[in-house]
Amino acid sequence: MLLQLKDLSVNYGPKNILSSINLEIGKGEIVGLIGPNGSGKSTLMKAMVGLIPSNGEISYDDRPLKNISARQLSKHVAYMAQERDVAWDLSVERILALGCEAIGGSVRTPKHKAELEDVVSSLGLEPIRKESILQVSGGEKARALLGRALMQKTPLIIADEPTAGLDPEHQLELQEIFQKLQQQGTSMLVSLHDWTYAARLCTRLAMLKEGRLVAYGLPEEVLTQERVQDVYRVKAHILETEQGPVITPTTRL
Amino acid sequence: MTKHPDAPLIVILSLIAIALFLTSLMIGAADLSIAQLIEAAFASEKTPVSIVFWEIRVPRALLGVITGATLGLSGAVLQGLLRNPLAEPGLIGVSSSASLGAVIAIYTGLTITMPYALPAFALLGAAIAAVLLPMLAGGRGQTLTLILAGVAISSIATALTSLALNLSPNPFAAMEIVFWMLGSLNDRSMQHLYIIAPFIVVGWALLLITGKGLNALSLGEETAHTMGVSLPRLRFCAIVGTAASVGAVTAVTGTIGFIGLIVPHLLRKMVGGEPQRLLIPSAIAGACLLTLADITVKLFGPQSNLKLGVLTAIVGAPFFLWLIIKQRRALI
Repeated sequence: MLLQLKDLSVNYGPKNILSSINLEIGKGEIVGLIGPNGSGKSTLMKAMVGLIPSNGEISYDDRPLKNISARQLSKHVAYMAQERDVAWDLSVERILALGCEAIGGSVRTPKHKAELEDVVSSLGLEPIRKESILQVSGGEKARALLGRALMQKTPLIIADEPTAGLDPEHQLELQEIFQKLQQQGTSMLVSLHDWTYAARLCTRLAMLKEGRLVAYGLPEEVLTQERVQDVYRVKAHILETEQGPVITPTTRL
Repeated sequence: MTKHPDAPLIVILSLIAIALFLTSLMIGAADLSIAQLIEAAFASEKTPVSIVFWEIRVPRALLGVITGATLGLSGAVLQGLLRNPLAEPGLIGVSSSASLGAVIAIYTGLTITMPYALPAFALLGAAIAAVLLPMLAGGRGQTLTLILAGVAISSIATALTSLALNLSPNPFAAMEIVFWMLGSLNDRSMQHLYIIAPFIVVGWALLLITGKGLNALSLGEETAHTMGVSLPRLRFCAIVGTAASVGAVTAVTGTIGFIGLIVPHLLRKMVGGEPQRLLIPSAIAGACLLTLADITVKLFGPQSNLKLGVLTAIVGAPFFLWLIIKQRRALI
């Protein structure tokens, strides 16, 4: 298993944020993490990469996280934070190079230069590769930051709300990129708010409610009328189409 | 081997630094010709000119280069660490704590009996700030809490310095405190340089190894952590490196502001905004700027009594304002 969580819990003082989470992610999966605001999605992702202390067991390739140094972790998993703020006026190309340098590589070597060119072309970054990350659009920035994560060449990418702030075209574009990566063998864990998007993109969905994992399975098993009502406290309209389900919230309970 | 992208910039800045260093050696209260100075530099016996050269001009010029380089380098590191273009060495409270240590040495009269009590106390002040800072900022030591802790330490040190001035036993002690605090390279000897040398070497070494971590930190603390950067280690190197090197130069020169703030700004665009590439050019440019400022002070002559720290502030503040206006769009 690329990532395995056993009985994971997170507490802030006396407050229980996550409890008894058990989850496994294997090769070539796209796992969607869904749940209402405050259900613990971001906390869970942060705990997975050791950004916040947790109890229970987290292991990458059967190695416990506590035995993995920050340096080694950067070769197991790449993380795209919800925060997309870049402090300095770096070019898109340099942002990608930072991903490579994180794992001890350098884009001056032919091997990593080729990897960079590959990421630039697969993410359509060619027209903006020399531009400042502070000047590009939201969609371009999301792609550039994903490119940085890809340059770490990890078997797993964890992305916290990668579609936030993106227009429909760029959301679909990102979906295509994720699916292409999956075909190449990369696994992903992404937190999402759009049920339709989640159902179409992900091979499996994990649904959180108040810090507990209430469902983990195929999208059609997880996104049922009853469960959506229970977890989100809204009624939803679920329509099956040829392209996959369309799930729309209709009324609040 | 691929050519380093900043090689031309580093070479040009180094040549300017050497030229300014030599110019600084040529200027001083005693009116000496270049020929006299060259002769003094290689004189086998001590002559009045060789004493002026080796015991006054060389230590002063060297101290200028070391101080400027320290301020430029630590400014670039702290701006990278705090992800804030307004950060400077003074922000984390090291300079004001070093000043407080020096002021205590003057206030208690220790400087009269022990000539090196002043730098020793100033170094102690900087060391205390370096220990207090992570304690106040908390275990996780995030950027905002680090800045707030630095501001708190700085405020306490400034308040205690004011108290020492307020309760000063006599006007001469008060005058000495004020003059010392204004910052100067005047009348410093090679002994001063020997005392601070170990702190400078350790400080610079710690600051120079932060480059890669600072680059990753451009993308945020969480992302940097998952890019293999140990944030506690990075903070340790940046804060202890700054405390050791800036504490050491402040211990000898007094407070000299604005160099650490301005230098990284001047160079940032030339290095593609990258924190790691900013480090060495900032150190060399800091050395250039401070040596230039000291040459200006020397040109005013000893009778003007103009202090270096005053000059850097008077020139630095409007210059900084101009930079802000120029970069306003990018900053917003």
